[in-house]
Amino acid sequence: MTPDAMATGAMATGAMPPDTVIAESMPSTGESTAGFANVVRIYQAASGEVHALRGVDVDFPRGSVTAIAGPSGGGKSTLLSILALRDRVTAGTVTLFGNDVTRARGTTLKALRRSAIAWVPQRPSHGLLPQLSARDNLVQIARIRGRATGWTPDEALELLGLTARASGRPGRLSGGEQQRLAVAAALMHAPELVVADEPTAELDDPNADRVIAALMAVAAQGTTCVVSTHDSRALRHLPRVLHLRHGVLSAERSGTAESASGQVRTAEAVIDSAGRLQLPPEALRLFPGRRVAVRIERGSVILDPPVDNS
Amino acid sequence: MPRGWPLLRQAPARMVHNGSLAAMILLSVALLAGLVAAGPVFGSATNAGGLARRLAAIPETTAASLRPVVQVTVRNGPPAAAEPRIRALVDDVPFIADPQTSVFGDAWHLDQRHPTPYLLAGATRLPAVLYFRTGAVDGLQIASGKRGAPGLWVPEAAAEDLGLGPGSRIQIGKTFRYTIPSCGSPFLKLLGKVSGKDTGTTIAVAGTYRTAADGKFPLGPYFSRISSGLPSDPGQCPSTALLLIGDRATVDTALAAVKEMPTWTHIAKLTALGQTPEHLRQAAAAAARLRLMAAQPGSEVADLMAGSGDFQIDSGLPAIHRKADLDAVAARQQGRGIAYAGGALGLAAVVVALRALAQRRRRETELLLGLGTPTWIVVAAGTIELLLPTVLGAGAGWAATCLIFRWFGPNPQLDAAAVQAAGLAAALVAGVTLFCNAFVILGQARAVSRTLEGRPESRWGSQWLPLLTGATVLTVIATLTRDREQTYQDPMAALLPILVLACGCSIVARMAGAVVAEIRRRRGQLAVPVFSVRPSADRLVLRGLRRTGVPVADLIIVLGVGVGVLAYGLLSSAQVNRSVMEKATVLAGASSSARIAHSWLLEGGDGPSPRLAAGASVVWRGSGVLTPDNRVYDLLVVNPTSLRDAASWGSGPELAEAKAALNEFGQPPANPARIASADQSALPPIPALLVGPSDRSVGSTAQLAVAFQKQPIEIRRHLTAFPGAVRPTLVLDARSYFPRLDEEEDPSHQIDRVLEIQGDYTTWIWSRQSLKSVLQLMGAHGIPTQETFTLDQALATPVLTSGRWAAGYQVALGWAAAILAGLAVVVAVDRRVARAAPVDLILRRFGVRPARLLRLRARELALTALGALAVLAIPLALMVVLLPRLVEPDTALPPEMPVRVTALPLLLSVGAAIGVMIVAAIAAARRSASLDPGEVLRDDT
Repeated sequence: MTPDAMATGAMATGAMPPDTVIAESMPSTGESTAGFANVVRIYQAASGEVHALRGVDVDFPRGSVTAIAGPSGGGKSTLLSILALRDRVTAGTVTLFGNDVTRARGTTLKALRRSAIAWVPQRPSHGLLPQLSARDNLVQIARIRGRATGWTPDEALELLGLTARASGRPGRLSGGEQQRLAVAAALMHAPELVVADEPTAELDDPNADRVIAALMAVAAQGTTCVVSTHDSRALRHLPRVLHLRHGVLSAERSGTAESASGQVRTAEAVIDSAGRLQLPPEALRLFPGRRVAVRIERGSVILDPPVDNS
Repeated sequence: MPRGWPLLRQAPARMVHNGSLAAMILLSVALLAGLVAAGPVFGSATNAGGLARRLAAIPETTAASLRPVVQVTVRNGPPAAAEPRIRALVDDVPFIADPQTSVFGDAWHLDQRHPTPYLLAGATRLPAVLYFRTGAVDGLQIASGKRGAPGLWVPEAAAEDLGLGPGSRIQIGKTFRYTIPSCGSPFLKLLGKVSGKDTGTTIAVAGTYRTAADGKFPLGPYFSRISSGLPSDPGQCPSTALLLIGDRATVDTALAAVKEMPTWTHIAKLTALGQTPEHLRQAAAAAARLRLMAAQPGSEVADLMAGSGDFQIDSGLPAIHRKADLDAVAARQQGRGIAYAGGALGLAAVVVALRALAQRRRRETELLLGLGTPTWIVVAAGTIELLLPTVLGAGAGWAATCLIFRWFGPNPQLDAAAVQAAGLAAALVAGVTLFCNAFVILGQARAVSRTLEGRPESRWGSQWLPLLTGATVLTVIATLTRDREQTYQDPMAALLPILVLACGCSIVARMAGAVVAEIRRRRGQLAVPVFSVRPSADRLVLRGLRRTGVPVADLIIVLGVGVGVLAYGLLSSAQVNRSVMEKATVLAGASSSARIAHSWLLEGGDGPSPRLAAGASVVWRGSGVLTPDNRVYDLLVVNPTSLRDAASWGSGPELAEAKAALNEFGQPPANPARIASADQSALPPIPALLVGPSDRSVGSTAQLAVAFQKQPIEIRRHLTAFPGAVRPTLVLDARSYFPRLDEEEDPSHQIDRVLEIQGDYTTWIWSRQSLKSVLQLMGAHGIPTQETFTLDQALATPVLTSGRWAAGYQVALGWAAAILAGLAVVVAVDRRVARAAPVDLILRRFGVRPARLLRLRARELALTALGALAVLAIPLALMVVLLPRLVEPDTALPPEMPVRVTALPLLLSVGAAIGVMIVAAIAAARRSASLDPGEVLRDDT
């Protein structure tokens, strides 16, 4: 879904009042870095077809930090892989920096990965070269990117608290240090897009905060960050959270909202191109009978539990 | 490459931190380099070794034209002024040394009037020849007199007969007035017209020397060595002349005084330094040039010889060089097949190692390509990483090959050119390895890129087993239907075992896996336990440990193939060595043999059983025609009693049967004289043994025609082999056969006479003693030997020699395959342990003690080894059946190599499998103990 589509489409707000105001806490410019339109990804597995993504529409504005949450097997990693140009869609369209990259050639994707996209894998050791020291890893990745902007290796190490381990090889670092190093490697030289799979999974609170702060810092400079996470600390801190369940984007939360009754959490549910709507869990709890009465009043769609006629 | 320098800078030392994998790559490259480098070194070493054996097998008694010498013979000369120049020309031939000059009176040959040289003392005149040779006086065993005294040295027996001693005066000269009618007869005065004027001079006797029993042949190794070059007897005896030996000045003076016509020889032999193919080539070329120069009118040699009688230059060097070249070609042909197989095995090892490396490197490749790194940088980094182990491996393989050939090869002196060629071959291997590595990385990068682009990986490699099976079946059919003589000469001989073992083990392992799966399936369907009612805790633990992604079946196949190639190599070597020994025994007949002119020269030689030392026997060789089918057979006329001890009987059943068959001859006739005079048609047929392929059946009779003699024979036994019988042969008992021959002229010489008419008979002394002993025995009897042959010479036959070397190469290949398989198994087990680390950790936390895990793994490895040996049984059995068709050396020579299995090679192979599993168990234990729970839980193992 493009920003325009999001702006003009029917917005199901559930229990939120119509005067809800979204308080933007991120320096989004409104310019889109990446966008998914009706993206479907189907894998052939030994047990048959796996529908990892079933028509996802989402947009990632430039300079935004977005968390992808959801249960395991919900499609988070697939979404991130496609976003990082490490996988292709089965159907739908992916745009990146304003260009449709769905059918782009391998060399184009490779060039984009090198110059504009940083990837932090779920297992940090998979994002590091084991034969190089921590600093050499950063130098090497910076040289591969070939950009002269952003942090230098030493700045990245310092920012993530790894200066003392600069000469250590990844095998000699703890799991948390490896994770921070992998994040540092991703943030080197200001990529346009950072895609991180569970970047705080093995970190304690201070280090998780460090990583989140680093992400926020690069986002403030215009880098778009997309991270998948189960980590409640990260979910609390990150301004935009998308929930992905069963390959479908079910809900979206963006900061807080103010209403006449005070501070309330706002959430956005997503209506897919077939008109289906997935409610966020807290809204879903209001409908234990899984039946809903839909009313349209003054431009709003109101969902109520059905009246029991009996 | 500005972008990638940290990656590339660290790459050269990368493999230092990759213990087992670096070792596997280093070893496999070393193996390939060693096997490829072995090609030129093998060719050179077999060439040099074959030459050394060929040279060692040429007795010094052989004629100069067959020996590694250069000899100039000038009859009635040379002019005194020319002698130094001729000597210098001979000495100029490279790698020729130890020149010796001889001069002796030879007018009785060279003068058409045939004057007889004589020694006159008192009234007794004996035929005697003036003789000088460099070192001859020093080589005499002096009976009386003082070495260095002036005058001539006279045989002890002659001196006694003539009453001579040191300081006596004798007359020597040549006479036209006397002649000698036959050997041992006294001089007769010629009554007819005298064709020349007798000459004579008086000279002092320096002393007397000891002789052989004939009273003429000087005792001592010096004269035994030059026996073939000594002047023959002018007294008509088939022995050497009675020699009047002196120093050069004395002999020259005497020759001039009696107007003798001297024969002058100058001989020099090949030095030890010259006994290499290249040096021999140079020496042979120089000798050939010298001969060519001598044959050209107007050449320096021809000019020097002007005024002499005639001259000739003899040298065996060109012929020996040609034969050595042929030997080398034969050896190279025989080694080529195995070299190809070795190369293929080594290459397979390298590819397996590179694939293992690529698997371990896959994560990095994914990372680098995911980062958008250009593929060429990824390839460059991988290539640089491999430089160190590749260069070290190639160097180690080259060095190991050179050292192995130096220590165990056919010749310890390795040719510098061959060593250099081997070095180039090893360098080529290093280059090929790096290229293959680049290719593998490129393939992996392509696969990773496909994955990154969301496309599935191609899996074309899963169809290899049907392809391998098809190739193997075709190769087996080609082997079974080809000409049986082509053993060792084509790559099939060495490739087929590897193909059959690889294919057989794979098929058997998969079939066994399918059977087990079917049993499990049925057990599940029927709900009836097949193996046990309740799975034990150990089984549950093992089940968990097995889920590692490295199938046990693969380990079984790899180990089975490695051990199988080793078992085949050891079996092949044992079979070939045994067969070579049996064939050489058949070729030689006895440990040593010497040909003499006639058996009647021996003591008691007027009958079929001349008296010889223990362990010696006379064998008469000839040929005869068996009628009515008119087929020509070789004849071996033997004395069964003495032959039993004298001949070599090998260790196989064929020659043992031949030895037992001698009993068929029974006892000799009680009265040979009566048989000789009896009515031949009334006598029973002569018992005979038939050797080799023939339509004749046992018990059948036929007429044997030798020259104009026909005798009935009865085939008592049909044998596949007999010592000395290389073609279809009839073996006859001399005690039964010779009395039946017609007695003509001289009865004492009859044994040889009939055969002599045939023209191609020879008389041989066979002995179980050394050739030196036989020559000493003959020397003691004063009987010159015309030719010698030994078991060592038979073993030096190129096809047998190269067959043994090729078998040794096959053993080396087998050990290489076993080591490689062992290394692959150890690496795979290490990988399994690493992959099973989470299960391992959880089991430990559940309370399973490490010792129990180790025990279970050891048990699993033992079962794997048993499985490998089990799947190996059928393909190895097939190879044992095919083995004679692949490796039998010289199929034309009996006995045929049988299908035979010996225990030792199999036990060694089983031991190798056990050894591999012990090492694997130790590696698994060490790996398991080194696992860090933190790393395990992060999946960084």
